[in-house]
Amino acid sequence: MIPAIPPIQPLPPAPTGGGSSAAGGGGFSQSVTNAINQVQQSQTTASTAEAQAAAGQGSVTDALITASEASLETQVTVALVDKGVAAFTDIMNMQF
Amino acid sequence: MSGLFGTLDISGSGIGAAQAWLDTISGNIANMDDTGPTDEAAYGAQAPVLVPDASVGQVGDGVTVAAVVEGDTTGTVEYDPTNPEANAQGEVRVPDIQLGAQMVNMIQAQTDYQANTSALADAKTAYQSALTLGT
Repeated sequence: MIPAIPPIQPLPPAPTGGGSSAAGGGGFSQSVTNAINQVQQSQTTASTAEAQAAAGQGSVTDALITASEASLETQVTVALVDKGVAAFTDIMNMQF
Repeated sequence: MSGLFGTLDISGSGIGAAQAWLDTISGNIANMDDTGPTDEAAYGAQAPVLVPDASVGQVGDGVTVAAVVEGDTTGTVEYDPTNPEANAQGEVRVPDIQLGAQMVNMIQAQTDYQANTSALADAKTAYQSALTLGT
């Protein structure tokens, strides 16, 4: 005896994009703007720390660490933006 | 600071602590040959008190210098009649700081500094390699 094939279960609802729908139309551009603002802020922090170190106040290690953090943050942001733009380009190049 | 790169902040606090330790050792060596009247306290060797600092980083704890403590100010009494601070018996009080012990501490502090720098560099490489996951 061949066992009966179980009925097909309905698909679970599609997950909603975290944040993008709640951003109210902003979506990707809003996320990018926020990320760029964050990068700008950390680079300002790094610049301040470097100026203080050069002026003899504050420590050189602090300046270098904040500079490293700003650099890494920029790299993360650039990587994410590149990925987003690449996804957009892929969709634009779709052939029907 | 940024919460994204906690390891960098933690290693940075470690570098700061090692720097403070090196500073006190330099001060101890610089003041090793201080002399003073026998009725006054001698220079006491200084050392930083390092305690964990949970406000740095997210998972691990950073380190901070809670205080700088001063060691024994008794020192030793030496015979140095040509010293202007010598008493009637020609004696002065000098700090009880051993150069050898200070140099050993300095090697430890230097290694501490290098270890934190190394941890920081490794964390940076790890973060950068995470960025290559998408490519």
